[in-house]
Amino acid sequence: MSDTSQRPSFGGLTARFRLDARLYRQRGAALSALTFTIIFVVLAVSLPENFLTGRNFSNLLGQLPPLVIASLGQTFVLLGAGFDLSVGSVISLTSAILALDLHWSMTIPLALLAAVIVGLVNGWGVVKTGVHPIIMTLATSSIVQGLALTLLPVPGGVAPPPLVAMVQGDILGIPFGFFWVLAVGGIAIHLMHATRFGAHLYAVGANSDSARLSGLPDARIRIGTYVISATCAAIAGLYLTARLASSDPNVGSALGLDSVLGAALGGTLLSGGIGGPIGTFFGVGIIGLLNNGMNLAGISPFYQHVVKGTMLIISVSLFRRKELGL
Amino acid sequence: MSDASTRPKPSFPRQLLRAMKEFPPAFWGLIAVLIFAAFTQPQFLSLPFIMILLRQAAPLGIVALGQTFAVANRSLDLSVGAVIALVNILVSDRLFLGAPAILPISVALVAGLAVGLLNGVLITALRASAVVVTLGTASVVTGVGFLISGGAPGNAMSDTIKFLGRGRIDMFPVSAIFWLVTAVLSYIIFRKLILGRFIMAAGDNPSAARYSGIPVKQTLLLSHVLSGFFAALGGLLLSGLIGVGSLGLGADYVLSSIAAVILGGAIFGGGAGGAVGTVLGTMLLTVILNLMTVFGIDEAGKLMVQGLVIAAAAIIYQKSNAAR
Repeated sequence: MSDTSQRPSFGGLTARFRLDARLYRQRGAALSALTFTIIFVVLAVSLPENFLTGRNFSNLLGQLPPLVIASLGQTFVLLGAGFDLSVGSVISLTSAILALDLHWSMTIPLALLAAVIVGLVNGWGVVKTGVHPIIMTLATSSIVQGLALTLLPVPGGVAPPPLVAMVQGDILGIPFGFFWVLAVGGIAIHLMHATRFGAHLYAVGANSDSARLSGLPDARIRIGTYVISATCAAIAGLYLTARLASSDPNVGSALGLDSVLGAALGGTLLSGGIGGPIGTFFGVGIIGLLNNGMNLAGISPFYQHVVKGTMLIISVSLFRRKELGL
Repeated sequence: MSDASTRPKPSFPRQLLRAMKEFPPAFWGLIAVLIFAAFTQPQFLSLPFIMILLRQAAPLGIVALGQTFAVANRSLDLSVGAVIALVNILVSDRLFLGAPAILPISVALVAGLAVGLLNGVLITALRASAVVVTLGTASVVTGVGFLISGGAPGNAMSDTIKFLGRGRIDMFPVSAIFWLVTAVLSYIIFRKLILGRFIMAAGDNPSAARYSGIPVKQTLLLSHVLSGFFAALGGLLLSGLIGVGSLGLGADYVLSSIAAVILGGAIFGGGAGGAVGTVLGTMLLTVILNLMTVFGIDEAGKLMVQGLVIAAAAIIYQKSNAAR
């Protein structure tokens, strides 16, 4: 199989089409970047003395990385027309594994290995047996959460010191979390936009059957997205545990839904094939700004549920799908 | 499958075998678990204990019946937990102190209908994914519940609701009667009414259903309204059983109701399932969870077993269906 970029272009038409397709896939990212900017300006104008402070920004930059990383992983699964509800549980399991009575050089690889296994099981269940992704990942989510609670029934334990050192702290006022996002985000963007895997993933997500008939390793690619998602969740779990300096078997419970919200707000369609990691940055940024703004404005946390739910509905209503239902 | 009439009629044992293949996974599971219980925990099969199990299973049973409509229609309702929580907060609100019981009951049921209608409208009019829409409405409804209760749910539940949830007529629990009635109602909708055929057709193959002139959108809307209503009714009985307002009641009912539906033989993605299967699925789930309590397995273990059961049922059913 030859690299698609090496094919001759027919009078520039292919190149033109490819550019259009690329822009079409990213149209959501532009919209969410615009929304992000508007919310940013509104907050800056209305709450200048609270919002526009170095302390608030470093707080935001320290808080958001787990969600950005988990959301980036979710983006891959969504692009392959899948769905991963187990993200939150994998984050919790990672946190629980870090609290095991073992040296950190054992627990960290163990946590990542566990995540890869969860991803493989998810992928196998969805792709090889044909169970709907929501049911499969709901089931594994329940199993993994049970496992996390078995390993660590109550919050506690001390996070590995080297990990804490890699999370808590800053360079020239920029929290380390920013570099975590830079690293994972860089890999994600590279994977999606500069590798064969990324190009194939878009094709598989847009139409799995025709991609398979065209000779793409459809099953391997879709299983791969679940492994990526679980690995990203584990990295988010490592970060979160180190930030809290201790483990909590329920730490990921809210992040599962938020990871979908972040990707959806970033313009990734849940039906697959449209969107990408760049939009996800802005999508998670919107969530972060809104939460931050509501906290700073002293709005009751109860309203935040309402706002989050409304945002989720609006974000998926922006682009009409053909399908009805799931 | 359609030209069965042209083929020679299969012999009786083969017919029986084929009919048994059609039974939902829950049927075999229930038999296996009951045999296991008969040998290890014989008190499980005593009549008083069965009545306790029925009373405990009824709220989930009703919620799961509602979920069956959504799943059979190639959809999903993840907002049932939030509806239960909202109903619980509504019926225990101080506002209804001294008011006749019919008032909080109607408010609760109307709230369930409203959430179901909202889900249905958003899913059909905006063509948004049911998963995300119901997750979104779940978040909104949870927030509204928190706002109504102010973070401290009331304790003013009317005795009528408590009677519905935990009362008995002779030995038979009242809530189980509700379960029976809703099960019969669901059976009639699925098997006798045109709506049931529409749900199955739209769930099995939406585009074929649309081209055959089936009002796919209205059917899906009604499925979600039914799911919302049944969730509210289940929440009402659960509130009566618990007897007080409590934040976050029913959160585990989302997973459990889907588990019951899957065990009942509904293929996720629509077009199959039914009232009888879901009732059996609920019973199986309740018996398993209670057996685990008897054997001293904690919540974490229950979560794991529930997940394993869902995955196993879904995979086995999917495989046997693909083979056919």
